[in-house]
Amino acid sequence: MRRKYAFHPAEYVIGENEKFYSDMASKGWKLKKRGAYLSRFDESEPEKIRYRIEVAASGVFDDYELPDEKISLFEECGWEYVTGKGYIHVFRAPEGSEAPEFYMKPQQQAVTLKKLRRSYILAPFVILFWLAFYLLLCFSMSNDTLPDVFRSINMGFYRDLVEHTALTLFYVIVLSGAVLDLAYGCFRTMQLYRRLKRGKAIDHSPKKRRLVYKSVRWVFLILAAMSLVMTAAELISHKKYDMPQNSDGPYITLDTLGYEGVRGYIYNASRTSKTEHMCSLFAEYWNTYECLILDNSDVWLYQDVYELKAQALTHNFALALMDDGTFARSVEEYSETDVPGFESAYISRYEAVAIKGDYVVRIVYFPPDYYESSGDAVIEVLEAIARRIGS
Amino acid sequence: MGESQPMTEAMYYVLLALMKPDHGYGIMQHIKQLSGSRVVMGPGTLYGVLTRMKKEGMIVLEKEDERRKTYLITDKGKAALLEEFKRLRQMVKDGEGLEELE
Repeated sequence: MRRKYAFHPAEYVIGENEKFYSDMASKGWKLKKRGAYLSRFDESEPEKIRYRIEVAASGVFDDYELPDEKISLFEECGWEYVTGKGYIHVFRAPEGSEAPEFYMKPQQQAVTLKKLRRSYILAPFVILFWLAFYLLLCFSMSNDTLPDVFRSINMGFYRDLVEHTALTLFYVIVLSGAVLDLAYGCFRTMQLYRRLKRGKAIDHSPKKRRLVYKSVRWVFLILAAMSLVMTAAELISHKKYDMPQNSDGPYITLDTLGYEGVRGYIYNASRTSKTEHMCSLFAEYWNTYECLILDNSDVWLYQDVYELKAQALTHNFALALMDDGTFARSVEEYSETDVPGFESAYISRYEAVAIKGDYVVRIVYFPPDYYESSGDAVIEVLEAIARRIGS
Repeated sequence: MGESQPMTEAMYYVLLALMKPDHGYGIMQHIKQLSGSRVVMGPGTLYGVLTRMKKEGMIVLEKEDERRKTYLITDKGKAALLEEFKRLRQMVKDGEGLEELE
């Protein structure tokens, strides 16, 4: 027997679900099971079948099952119970059979929608509750004040948007799509409830006129698919390799600074050096790490060099990088310093963030004598990077 | 009796049918017969009415086997039904003379 899966209408459009299943039956696909988004159909002879949906009016902690007594009552009247998922339970009877409609009056059916309606009305509050819970968790696990927590979430978002543009867009699209869908569900459920309450029965075979809804949904689906494809492109563009002896990008090697030694492991680093090169929609960037073992000490340098696609992004992005410093705990711990070759530079002992045209550079530098070093060592490295970018 | 709001048609007929113990489908058949097919109660409506009236103490569960429950009217239910019957009879009486319009 052939099977088929198809997306069914959402739970808040009762009549459209009934029509959808009837239409499928007349095309030779008989409903077998309803899932969260997909329904399963078995191939059969095309038939005219009346499908009707009963909404489970379960309590808060009950499951969404219909009581046995209810199902058997419906079945004694000539309705066959097919399947149920969540609030939606599907019955069917051949077209023209004597099985009576479920309700004498629309108002009686409205009562069964109360729980579904309430779940939609409560959903935004549940989301807000979890959001507040998350913020509280962030808040209690750090010494930050609430504005600090908001700022670092904001900064983190900004950084993701530059570094992983497509993936971030994908999240934003999916999330806003879900929020819109919820809002629409709220609206439709309340509308249906109101209409039933006023005595207007459910339209069991509504005409297709939800053009706006469908086009918006398609736009979201296409945007989500596009951003997913671009995410794949971003991932493919990601390259990670041992740093070549001569720099192959807008970053420097330690020998440029006059150090002579061999690359080696320190602490628990998994490699002696690395270069990572990535492209997003907003930036092309390099993340590097190099460690040289000298005669009786060592020196190491991290460089993150971003070439942004728009100069307007540089200032905020530099702030986001500072906010996420390795040692500096906040943006305030950086002091603005003049560094030749850069329009602006911010230094905090071992680390620095600097802007030059479309470029934003962040380094963490540990020279051999880092105990005694002031900010000057970092300036020397920045200058070398500025020359490298300029060349 | 306490029920201030007027009884719905569905409730009236269910109470009437439950003067003798009966189960869900039987009640529906009984009502259809009683009303000469004028009142065809859907199973959803009946289930709703049974649940509500059980909660209000108008009917009780008399017997329960596997999936079938048999209900019976209570004294409270009888009183409410009688009160409604009197009200309806009074209404019909008050409207006497309307036959002429038919």
